[in-house]
Amino acid sequence: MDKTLLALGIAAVAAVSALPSAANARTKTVSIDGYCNVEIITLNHVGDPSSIRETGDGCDENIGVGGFKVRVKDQGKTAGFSWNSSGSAGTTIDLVFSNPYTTGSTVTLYYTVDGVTQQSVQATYTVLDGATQRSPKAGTRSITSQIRRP
Amino acid sequence: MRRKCLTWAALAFATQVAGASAETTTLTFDGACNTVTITTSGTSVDAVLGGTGCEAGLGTGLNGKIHGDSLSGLGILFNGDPASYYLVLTRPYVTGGNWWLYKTTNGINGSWSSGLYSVGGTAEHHPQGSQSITAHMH
Repeated sequence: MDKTLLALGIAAVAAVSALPSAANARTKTVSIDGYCNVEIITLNHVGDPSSIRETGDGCDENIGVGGFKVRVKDQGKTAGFSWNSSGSAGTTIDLVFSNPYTTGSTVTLYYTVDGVTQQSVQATYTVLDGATQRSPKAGTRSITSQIRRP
Repeated sequence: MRRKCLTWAALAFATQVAGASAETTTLTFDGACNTVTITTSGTSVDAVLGGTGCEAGLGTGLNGKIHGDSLSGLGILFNGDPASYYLVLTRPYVTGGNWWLYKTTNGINGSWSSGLYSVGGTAEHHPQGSQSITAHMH
């Protein structure tokens, strides 16, 4: 437990001043295959929180935080973010990247509308270089279009 | 094109993963008014946040490990709050466990709070303080 406490304790302290504005923060741009979502992920040191936001390309507006490298049974290493999306306002979302951040890996949008039952939508993702605005695999709709509300 | 469509169609599935083996635990945040009722099923975890005088909300996420230590990580949405929150709880859920709450309002900058939690109590009936865990984000 000590290492977890240390890592997350450092993360909490780092979040005060070092979350994306730090000089040593770096970004990854990720396109969700089959959808129009292109996300900018700002990474900090291992163990520190990261942040995520849509690029402002008209696909969706969303923000999130988290991104800790967590090992999940049967999934391996993952990075999950809270994700408030204008495309699905009022839906609670955890956007989880497997094998972060490697092109061809899966991204899963877990969501709940009642806090009891979890549902999910899955796709693959492509890590873009700085010059590329959208993956050749991109679609026209946001991944939130797959969310089913009662 | 047909192969791509089949691939994406196969990937764009939706599943309900909370099943009969789900377990429910209610936690209170020490010194705060918040409660959270957590439902776990395998690696899936969902949450209902409440507490007398505290904002209501929902959470969803996964159970996993960092450096071999178990925890739950959940995206959190509080009713009427446009900010995005991520909650981390140490596992197993035992009194004296740790929580961390991270917040962003723009997907760039963030703030946080942390503390201990206790197991037990009934949501809305055992507040341990008057302020929310969101009241003093650093």
